[in-house]
Amino acid sequence: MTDDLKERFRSLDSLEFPYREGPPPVRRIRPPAVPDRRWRAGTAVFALLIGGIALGFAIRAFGGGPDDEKPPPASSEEIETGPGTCDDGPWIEHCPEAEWARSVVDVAGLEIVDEQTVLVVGAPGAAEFHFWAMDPALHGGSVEPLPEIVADGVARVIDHVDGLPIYGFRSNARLWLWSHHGLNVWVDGRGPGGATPSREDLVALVRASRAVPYRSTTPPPSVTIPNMVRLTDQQGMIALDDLGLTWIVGYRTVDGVDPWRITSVDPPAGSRVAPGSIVRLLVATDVTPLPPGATDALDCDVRHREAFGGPNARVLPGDSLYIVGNLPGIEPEDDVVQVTFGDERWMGLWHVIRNGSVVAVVDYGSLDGVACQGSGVAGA
Amino acid sequence: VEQDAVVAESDRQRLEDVYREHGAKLWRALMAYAGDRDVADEALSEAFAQAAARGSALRSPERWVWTAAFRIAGGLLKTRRLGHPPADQASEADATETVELLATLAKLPPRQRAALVLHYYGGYRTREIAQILGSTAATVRVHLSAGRRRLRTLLEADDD
Repeated sequence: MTDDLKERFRSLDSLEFPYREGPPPVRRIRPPAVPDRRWRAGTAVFALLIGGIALGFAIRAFGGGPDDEKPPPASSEEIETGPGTCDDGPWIEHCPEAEWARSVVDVAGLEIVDEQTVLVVGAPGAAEFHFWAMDPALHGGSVEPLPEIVADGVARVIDHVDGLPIYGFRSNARLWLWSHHGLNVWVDGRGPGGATPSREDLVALVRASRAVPYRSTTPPPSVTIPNMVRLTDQQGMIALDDLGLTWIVGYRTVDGVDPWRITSVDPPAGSRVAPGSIVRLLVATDVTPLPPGATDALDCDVRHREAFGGPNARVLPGDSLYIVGNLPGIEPEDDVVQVTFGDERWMGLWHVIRNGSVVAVVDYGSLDGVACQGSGVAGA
Repeated sequence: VEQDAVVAESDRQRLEDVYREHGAKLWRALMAYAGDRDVADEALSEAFAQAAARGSALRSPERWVWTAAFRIAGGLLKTRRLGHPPADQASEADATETVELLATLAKLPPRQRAALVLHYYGGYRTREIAQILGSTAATVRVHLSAGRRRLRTLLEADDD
């Protein structure tokens, strides 16, 4: 069958390639229209209202006490037919649960593996991972064991089986989610306490927010982060690739440093991390040209600048819409303009300009940067 | 200055070679992944434009453009989720089998689609796919396993 698939894919060679003489000219695909901020603010208020109602309902339905006092989770039949279930298509893009799961993994730096059931796994070395399976039956009653993504012998199961998330908050850069359903999990071939599940009980019942002990057959490996300062970003990325690490590259103008060279590494060189861990590289750019009317590339005193940013390994093309849509605090009157170097348009850096002054410099790929305090951009 | 010009010319030539060798395959892979000519065109052109801007900083331009193109296409697809999904954009001239494959791939989640296309069409190994997609080998194995299973089911259903 594998050969059959290879053969099937070979049929792609019949697609007529129209650009033999060279790639088509660079242009921007117009992004779909998004509602204005006032609309979004109204939506947020409405969502909060609905969330409050849902929270009240859930507390009333399942009690607010410890997990042990809660009723058992819904049966799979109830799950399949329950409200808000994303089980009626091969892949539901606009299903609220899927959207929610995407927002969770974006913040937590995790990745959705299977969006049909929204099985979410954590990054290696994260010491915890998250499953959110809307219908465990789609996984044949079990979640595939992925021992290499956990560490310290404990997998923390935080998510739930079905239903809208009731409440979540962020603490110490980790996301903790409360939910009202348990989760059927089979970790590393064992249930809680290392019990081997029977044939009829292939999955072990685990309450949300419980730690699941498991036995690791080999100790988690670790990798030493090399010194990559002064390397080019490509050299750094290749070095990290070779070590099995995941990289996020941010670009920023840094005084006194050769442009297009790595200026800092986080975690720092010499740190030992698990394979696949995320390493952030900060690369110096050329001196940022001033936008018309601005007196400084960032019009505020160094002491009044605040760095912001979070894990976001994706490099997303697009335009200012992405920055406006993902960074709070940008006013409707602000201009978000791309920084150019010479005649080259380069999507790495963007200026947020307010009343002729640059109040923030944003790196597009990692969505981090520096903002003047008081601007409100990204909470600064 | 003269030496810089020679280096720049050498980089340009190297990138042209990469385009000649990989351009068509990459564009077709992007078509299979995105199911949208606009996205495939944009990702192809943007990836090569960025590669050209980086010049000799790229040690492995062919891998770099594959990585950049797939990430750009992924970003565009994510943006497109806010709007309507693209219609089937294979042309009438394309073979029926290809049209069917594109339509079937469109039913898979993007990550599975990307992994399958890179593996079965791009010929990349799991670890290389992980590097291109910015993921881990373990995760790619899950994508491949689940995607293969689902693709088989869908193709068999179509064949019936």
